[in-house]
This record gives sequence, C-alpha cells and structure tokens, in this order.
Amino acid sequence: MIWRIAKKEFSLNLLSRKFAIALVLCLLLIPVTIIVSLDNYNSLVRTYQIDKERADKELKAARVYSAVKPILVFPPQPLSIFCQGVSNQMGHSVKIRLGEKTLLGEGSVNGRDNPLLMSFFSIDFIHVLAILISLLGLIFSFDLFSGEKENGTFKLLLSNPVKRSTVIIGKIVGVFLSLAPILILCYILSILILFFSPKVHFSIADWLGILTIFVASFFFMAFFVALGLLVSLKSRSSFNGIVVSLFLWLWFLFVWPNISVYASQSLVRTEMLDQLQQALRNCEKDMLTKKEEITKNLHFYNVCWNCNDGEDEYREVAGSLRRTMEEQRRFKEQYEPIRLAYADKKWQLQRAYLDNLNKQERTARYISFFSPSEIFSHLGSMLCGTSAISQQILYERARNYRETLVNYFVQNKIFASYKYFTPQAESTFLNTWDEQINIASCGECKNGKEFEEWKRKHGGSIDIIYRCLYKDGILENYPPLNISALPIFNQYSLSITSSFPLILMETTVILTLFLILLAMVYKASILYDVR
Amino acid sequence: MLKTIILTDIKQNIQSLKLQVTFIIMLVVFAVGSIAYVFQCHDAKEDYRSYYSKMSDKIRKDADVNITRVAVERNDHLFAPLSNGFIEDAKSQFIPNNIQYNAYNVYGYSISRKTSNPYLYLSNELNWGFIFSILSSFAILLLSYDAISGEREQQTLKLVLSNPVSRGVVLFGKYVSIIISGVLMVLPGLLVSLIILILSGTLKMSSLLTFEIFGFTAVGILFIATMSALGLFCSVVSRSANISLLISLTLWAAFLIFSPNLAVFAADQLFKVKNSETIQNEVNTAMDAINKAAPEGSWSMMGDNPFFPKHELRAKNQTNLVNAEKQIKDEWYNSQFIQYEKASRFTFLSPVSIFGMASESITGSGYPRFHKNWDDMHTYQNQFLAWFKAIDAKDPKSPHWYNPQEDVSTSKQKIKFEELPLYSERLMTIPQRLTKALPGIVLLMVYSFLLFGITVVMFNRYDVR
Repeated sequence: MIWRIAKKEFSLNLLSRKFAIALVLCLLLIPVTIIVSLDNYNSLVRTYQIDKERADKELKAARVYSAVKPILVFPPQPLSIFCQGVSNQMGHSVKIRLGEKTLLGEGSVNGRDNPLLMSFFSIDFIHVLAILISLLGLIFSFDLFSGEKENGTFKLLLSNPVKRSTVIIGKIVGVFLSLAPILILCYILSILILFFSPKVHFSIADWLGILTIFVASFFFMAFFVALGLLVSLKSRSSFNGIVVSLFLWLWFLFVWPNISVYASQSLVRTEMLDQLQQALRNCEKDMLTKKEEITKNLHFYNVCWNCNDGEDEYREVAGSLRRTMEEQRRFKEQYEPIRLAYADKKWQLQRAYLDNLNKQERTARYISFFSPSEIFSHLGSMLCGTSAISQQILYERARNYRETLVNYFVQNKIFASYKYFTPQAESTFLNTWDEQINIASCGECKNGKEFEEWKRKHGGSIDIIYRCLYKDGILENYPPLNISALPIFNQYSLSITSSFPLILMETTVILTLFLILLAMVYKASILYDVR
Repeated sequence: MLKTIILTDIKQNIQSLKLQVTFIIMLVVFAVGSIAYVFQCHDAKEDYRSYYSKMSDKIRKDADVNITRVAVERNDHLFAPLSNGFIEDAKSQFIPNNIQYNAYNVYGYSISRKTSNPYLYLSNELNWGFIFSILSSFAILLLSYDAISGEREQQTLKLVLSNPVSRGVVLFGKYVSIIISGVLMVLPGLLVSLIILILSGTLKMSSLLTFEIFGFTAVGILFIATMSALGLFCSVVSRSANISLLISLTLWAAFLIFSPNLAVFAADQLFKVKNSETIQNEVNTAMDAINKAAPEGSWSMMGDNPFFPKHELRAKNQTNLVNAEKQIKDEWYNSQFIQYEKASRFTFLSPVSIFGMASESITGSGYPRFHKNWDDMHTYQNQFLAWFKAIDAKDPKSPHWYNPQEDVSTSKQKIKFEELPLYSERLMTIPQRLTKALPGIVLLMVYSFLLFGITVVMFNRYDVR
C-alpha cells in the first residue's frame, strides 16, 4: 500500500509543471556554479604550483642552515569546488620560523586574478544545493495534506482500509522519489563537468567525501520534506501552509546564518591581530636585551667580509677571519636556544588569541545549529576539508613540523656548528687580516699596514682589495647545502576516516532534529482533522 | 473605482498571514541588525582609531628624520569605517580598502582584513540593503504572485471584472496596492532601526546622512515597485497560483545566485585580464632591462654625502624602475577596473543587483568609493610630490636628484608633522552620488514599466474562467 501511494505521488509530481520548473532551475544554476568554482579552483592550483616551486627553489638554494626556513604551501582541496568553506579566507602558505610559531596562513588570499571580482559573491555548490533542495522539499510537500483536504480527496483516501501512518510514509516516500531524480541530476551534472576538466583529480577519499555529501543531502532534503509536511498538517489551508513554510525557509537559509555570525561576534570578542603582534614585540624585548648581553662580549661579531642578513636571524657569512667566525658560532650557539624558548613563551599569547578565534567560530557554529541548512553546509565544508577545523588541523601540522625541524637542529647540534651560518669549510678560514689583504690585492699589499698606506695615497678608496677575487669570500661560489636528511613535511591529505569524527556532532544534531520532526509529523497526522 | 480596488486590496493584504509574518520578521531583523551594528560600529571605530594613530606615529617618526624620508616611505591608506554602514555595506569585505602610496607613485591596492576572524564564515551584514534586497524582495513576490492567478482560482476575478472597470485599471489598482503594502511592511522596521540607532547615540545626523537615508529609502521603494511588477507578471503568466509561485521563486533565486555567478563567469571567459604572475614577469623583465642599461656606478651610494656624484645616476635609475613598474601596473589595474565594470553589467539582468548598485552609489560605499579614493589618491600623490619638490628646491643642501625609493640625494631638512599634507578621504558629494546612481534608478524604472506593460498586455488576454 505504501508503495502504491508513493507511486501515485511520484507520477503526479513527475507530470506536474512544478517538476519541470525545478528541473530547469537545476539545469541553470548547477552548471554555472560548478564552472565558476572550477575556474576559481584552477587559478588556485596555478598559484599553488608557482608558490610551491618558488618555495622549493628557495629551500634548495640554502647554503647554510640558518637559511633553512621551509615555506609550506598547501595545495587547494579538490573538493573545495563543491564547498569553499573558509579556505579562501586564509593564505595557503606558512613559513616555518625558529623564532615564532605558525599562527595562521600567509600569502595572498585571492584565488582570482582580479580581486574586485570577489565582490560578486559567487556561492558554491553546497550552498546552491542547500537553497534549491530545501525549497523544492518544501514546495513539493506543503500541500500534501491540506491540498488533498481542499480537493476533498483526502476523505476518500482514508476511507480505504489503510492506516494513516501508511499514508504519511507513502506520501513522504513519494515526494522523496520525485525529488531524488533532481538531486541526482545535480550531482551527475557537476561530476560530469568536473570529469571533463583536465586539472581536477579526485582521490578515493575525495570520492568517498562526495558520496557522504550525497547521502547527507538526501537527509537534508528529507528534513525539509518533513518540515513541509508538518506545516501542511498544522495549517488550515494550503495557502497558509506555503506562506509559513516559505518564511521558515527564508529564515533558515538567509536570516539565521547571518544572525549567528553577528551574534557570535557580539558574544565573543576577539583581539585584533595588530594587538597580538604588539604583545609579541613586547615579549621580545627581554630577548633582545639578552642578545645585547651576548654580543657585548663578542668584539668581532659585526666584522664581516661578505655577509647576508635576513628575517628570523638568517645570517650567512663567508671569508671572515677565524676569530669572527668563532664569535659568530658562539653567538648562534647561545642565542638560538634563547629564541626557541621565547618562541614557546610567545606561543602562550598566540594560543590565547587563537583560542579566542576558535571560541568565536564555535559559538557561531553552535548558534547556527538552529538552522538545518547551516548544519548541512558545515557538514559539507568538513567533508570537503575546507572548514575552520580542517584549517586548524593544517596549521597544527605545520607547528608540529616546526617542532621536528627544531629537534633535528638540536639533535645534530647545528646551532653550534659553523654550517649554521657559513658555507665555508673550517679548514679554509683565514687567520689574519694580513693574509686576507694579501690574497685580495693580488699580493700588492702584503699586510694591513700597506693597505692603509695605499688607501691614504688613493684618497680613501679601497678598490685595491677587489683587485683579485678572494674566492673563499664569495657566498655565491658555494654549492647549496645537502638537505636530504632534513625532516620533510607530509602534505595533509583529506582522509575520510579523519573527517568522520568531525562531522559526528553535526550529524547527530541534524538526525535528532529530523527524528523530533518525524515524531511531530506523526502525532500531527494522527490528530489531523480531515473534514 | 481605482481607489476602491486599492483600498480593498491593501486591507486584504494587511489581514493576510504573509504580510503579518513578513512584518514580524522584518521588525526582528531590523532590530537585531541595528543592535549588532551599534556594537560593531563602536569596535570598528576604536580599531580604526588605534590603527590610524599607529600610522600617524610612523609618519611622524619619518618626519623627525627628514622630509625625504616622508616622501619616500611607502604608506598605506586604510579606508575608515563609514558612518552609514547600517544602510548598506556594499560588500565592503570584498572591495579593496587599502591603497599603498608614496610621494612618487600610487603602488597598488589590497583588501585588508585586519579585524575579522578568518575562521568565521563571511556573511552578509544585517543592514538595510540586505533586508531590502533579500527579505523584502522575497516578501513582495509572495505578496503578489497570486494577485491574478489566485483570484482566478477562487473565482473572484470574474466578479471583479463584472464591474464597469477596464482590466488595466484593475491591474494598476493591484499594482499600487502591492507597492503600498510593501512599503507599509518595511517602513516600521526602518523606523525602529533608526530609533535604536539614534537612542544609542551611534547616529549623528547630518545633511549627508539625511540624504543617504532618504535616498536609500526612495531607491528601495522603487525596487519594491519593480519586484511588485515582477510578481504581478508571474501571476499572469500562469493560470494556477502554484505555478506562479514557483516561477517567481525561480526568478528570485536566479536573480540572487545566477546573476552574480554569471558575471564572474563572463568576466573570466569574455573579458580576460592578465594574471599576477604574467605582470610580475613583465615588471621583472622591464626592471632587468633598465638595470642592465644603467651606466656603471648607478648603484653606488655614500650614505652621508648627498652630493656624491653617482647619486644622480642612482636617482635616475630608481626613477626609471619605478616608472616602468608604474606603467605596467597602472595598465593592469585599469584593465581590472574595466573588467569589473563590464562584468557587473551582466548582473544588471537582476533587479536585485541593480538595486545594490544604485544603493551603493547613494551611500557612497563599495566600488564607487574605492574608485574615487583611487583617483583622489593619484591627485593627492601629485600634489604631495609638488609640495615636496618645492621645499626641496629651496634647500641649498640638497642636490635635487629625486630618488623615489631612497632617502639619499634630496633635502635632509626636518619637517613638522603638522605641516605635512596628509591624505584624507573626501566622501562622494551628493551630485556625484546621484549621477552614479542614475543609471541604476533609470534601469529600475524601465524594468518596472516594461514588466508592468507586458503584464497589462497579458492580462488583457487572460482567460478569467
């Protein structure tokens, strides 16, 4: 009997103009959405490749260990085509520094070449789907009961020897069956488009993710069908039914998500990034005095023949005298552990900042649980690896990688070795200034005294020491470091098993809501007055 | 007769469930939005103040060193939060709000999101623009989709038409009544919002703000009229109210989702711009060529002696470099602006987007604001350079070799911070805003006339049985 009712509903819907319009709507919206997202993804991949290449090149070109500051570039998730989540709000690369732990992504956030185009608020597949199927779910179900009652066919239906519950289940199944082709069509369309685009490659985990989203969207649709039914049972006329359900739809999809973000921003205050940076700089003041104390005892520390300095205490020296080299080494040996300790100290502040951001995000998420469509899109972003949590895992992994790198440096006593700041072999260090002058001036000045004399004669010019190349003193002459033993960062790949625990809460909430709704529908149908 | 039709319809609408539900939702959203705005506005102003004072400190420090430092250092101008954010934020999260400049060049623009949490989903602000473009458009369609097809189904249309009135008058009466009901639906919420904002002290009335509020409301009413015409159109297209509803919802969804996506699609496919890597490569090649062609000694420098002869070469070389970059980048930026403007024309299929465009022009926010600042910044930069050169010319201790990148071979005079010509944003004036908004307003009018005209024609042929 259930099957019969379902079949009747199904064939009725299939022939209706509602169905045709819904189909056209899908055919219109889904391809455009997917193509726009695809285009965005392709340009993200392109920037990823360029950045990755640059990062690799930079790392491979390092001649000394203090230049080893790996830049981790995260590839865009292929599934971000379906759901962008928050992945486009943060940079996709992270620079590993010894003096500071990774906070958030760096680099450009724009996938598009023209940042202005970001303002066309293009929405992704998950959101379009959420809007579409919830609307269709409601429109196909709002007059299931009130409509039949108004036509007077409901009495006839119930005069048959069937239970009301059978009728309800039959009707739900019928609506479900008529919407399923539309939903499946949406997925098939988008997967077909992606299938024929050369740059997109899905792994098995990705396919599983898509499958899970697919299943989830059925639940989501069922939720709205049930909601439409409930409204239809509770409202006196089908007209009232449609009004109420459409406003519920508007509220769930357009009003509540915005309210939840707004409310969380008012409930949980976050610090500005500027303020955090200020606090970090304050924290560093102690460290800088310690640095001064160390350098006070090092007289030749600032003397160098050829040297490069840079961010995060990068220093590269070649051609300096042994005593300078030794002082450099002693400085690094003492100072780098202090910097590491301060990085941990600063992390306390950074973590407080991050915790606050997370708290705000969590609050927004929990508030948005009142809207099923938001639960659905959160679920989608988690399965697509683009949610806030996935991003946090990414940065957590980057921090862990930094720890391994630091451990590697400490274990191999790299801070205390010459290799940390000079590519020059220890045996080729020159001992005296005279020696150096001699080599650099092709023997024209035998020692420092002669050099000073030459200088006086030539009006302060020091060109003489560039006469002959002091080969050991030129940084560019040295080959890059062999970094094959360096720990490698394993790219984060989405694994379906790791995202299941994440979506547990969302799934539970939406299922609970669904069950409550079903119970309400059942109760209302039993009490329904068919006259 | 017209009056009777209008009055009965308004009365009917007011008693209907949909208007009552909409009314409540509107009030709630208006109130929630304004309260949230009160909090956020305060924070945003605080944040901006602290940012601005930091910025000024930086410039002050440069001024204490010397005037050349002030001219050469690149600074950022971050847009201040507007005082009319409660009306329309015009997607300000996605519009560039930061311009980098020094006295010699305006280097580029960026989107700076220093204050917001990257883990939070970016959402629409609950401002008036949002309420009008999403909530009220939806409510209007719901109000009007069954004006004709619904009456036909209830068999009342025959009775109405049996009176000695022309169909056109009936339709016009319905149209006017829907517009009036729509306005009645929105206005109380708007007033509540205004009252909240004024009582909380967030709002400081000025003539400009009054213009913005009234201008926005006027455009909003025009938008309501357009959407009403659209709803009426949907209701004569079909003989069944259900189908009318579905058509109007489809159109609504298409206007909200399809047209912005289509614009991006069109921009990507039809009006391509060069990507940033290509530009960077072009800049690098041009710079390499300049550096190679530079006479020997162009990179020599003697920090404490401005008159060191090679500084002239250095200044020339640096100027060439900056000019080369400027030429390539400016062309690229212009192509980006053109791409954006052309692409946004695609969104004009949708009245919602037209309304957005008109209201962002009225409130002087969004892209028009950015573009004006961009142009103003160029004017300012020229004035700043002229000012700097005038002071430098009077300084006998300067060789007047203008180097746009470094503090080497121009005046080393100190300057008081107060004497500096700082950039300050000039908001768009009312006539400017009106001219910018005019195309949108005209389009909305044309849209409503056309839709209403088509509806009249179709209604004349409508089978009322």
